[in-house]
Amino acid sequence: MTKPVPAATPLSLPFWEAASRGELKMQKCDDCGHIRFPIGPACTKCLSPHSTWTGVSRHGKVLSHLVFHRGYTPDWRTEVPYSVVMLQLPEGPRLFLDVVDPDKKLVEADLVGQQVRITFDTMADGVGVPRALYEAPMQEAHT
Amino acid sequence: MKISDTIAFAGVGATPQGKLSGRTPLDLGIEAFRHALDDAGLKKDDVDGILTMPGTTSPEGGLHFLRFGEAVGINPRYTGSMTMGGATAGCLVQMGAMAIAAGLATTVACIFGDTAKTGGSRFDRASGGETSWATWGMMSAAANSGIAADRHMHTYGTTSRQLAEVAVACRYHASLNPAAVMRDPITVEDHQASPWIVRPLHLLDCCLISDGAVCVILTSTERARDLRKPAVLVGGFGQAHTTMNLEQEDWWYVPHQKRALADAFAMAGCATSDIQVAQLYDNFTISVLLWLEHAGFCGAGESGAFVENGRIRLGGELPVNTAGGNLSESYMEGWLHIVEGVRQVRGESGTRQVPDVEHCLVTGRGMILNCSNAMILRKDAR
Ligand SMILES: [Zn+2]
Repeated sequence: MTKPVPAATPLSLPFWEAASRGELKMQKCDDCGHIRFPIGPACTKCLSPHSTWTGVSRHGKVLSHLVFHRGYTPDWRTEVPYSVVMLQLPEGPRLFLDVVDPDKKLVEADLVGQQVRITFDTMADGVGVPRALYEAPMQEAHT
Repeated sequence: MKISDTIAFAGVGATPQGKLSGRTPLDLGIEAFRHALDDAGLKKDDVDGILTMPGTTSPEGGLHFLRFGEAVGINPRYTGSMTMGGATAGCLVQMGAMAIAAGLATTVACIFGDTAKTGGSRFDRASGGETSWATWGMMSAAANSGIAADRHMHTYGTTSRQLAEVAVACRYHASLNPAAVMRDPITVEDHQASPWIVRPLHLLDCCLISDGAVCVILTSTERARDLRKPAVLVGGFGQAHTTMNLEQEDWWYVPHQKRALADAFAMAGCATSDIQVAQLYDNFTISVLLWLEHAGFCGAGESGAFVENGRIRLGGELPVNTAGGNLSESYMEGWLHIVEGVRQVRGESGTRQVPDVEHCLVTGRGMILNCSNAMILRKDAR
């Protein structure tokens, strides 16, 4: 595994700290309740700067499934082919995750409409990175 | 202030395209500027406005306008640079038209030069801000348009073979264009057999990467009528942008493009049915499908079927990208779409001329899926 370790910024640090504990947290606006993602300094609905990092579901529905046959950085060139999914979380936010696929079976599949779990990879320096895990028998439990 | 039809394209110019070793964005830009001046019958000192798009390999970045003005010996009344990817060309033309209409300049040259091919530009940056999408391998322009294609396929049943029709039509048009980079005709089967880049996009869904430069010169319609070539009127224009991505559910559909088009048609006082030919921004084949829907040539989800049976080829109901587009002519980020639009309205497109062009639609789209604009070029009815 040669995937890059993400660089935390002061704003994103709580996201990575939570991920390193196996939790997915996003900013929930203290004033209007909107959960925003991507991470930002203010609420995209009401501009409030006040928010609380709140746990969200560790599963979601696949809206789109890409299969990369080109690697655009040295880190990813060794991973091709690999899948990236755009996920819909039950709480509203959407995010991109790559898909755990050690046998390169899912790069032949179409996961759109399927439920996936969000799992966490621990990188060299202890940083946790969320990734999508598709387990066919598990999907019923999460629908 | 009425702008519609009061501003016109006076001249257009382009350098050779493709792989141009030893050239720089700056010297290419100056060559294109010279060609556009010749086309218009203007002298460089007639130009009092300079708007530029820095090439991906231009070292000056946002200060490109300063270097360009110095290099051509012009102290402009109005100038600046803009970086909005493939939407820049149209947005700069709109800026130039508004500057002339407001009396800030009389004649504005809009210029782009790049050596993306020999300079090794890769167009593979990741978005995402605080949590870069590169963490999850989500990078490249192809991936973002891949999301648009994948969602369109799953929502409407659009197929890869339908995307291929766009590539095949553009290549056919390029085969008729001596200035195009890729001129060997291709088939739907060739498209299907080309390697995956980011599924669902094949290699032949993707635009070229090119060296070259383009310049278009605007002036008032009144002045343009005294110049060398027939005036091509700026009938109407509009632009709209979606800065949000994951937070907007239909982001992939680039719905803001509908607004850009509606504003352009409203300003021009005409409708989709008045368009005889269209130059639709095609960084990837899916982009053309979305433009067709947003402009109302077909309904939402119907563009896949619309492009079948040669409908967007010369001789079809709506010829699209008659010079070959970004996909096959050259990747000048939409600048050559404007040039071809002007030539079609003038009747200068030779073997690829669409008969009796009164209106040509030209669109631009840039950044990840964010920026868009539309222009309606009109024949001078004088
Ligand atoms: Zn809020």
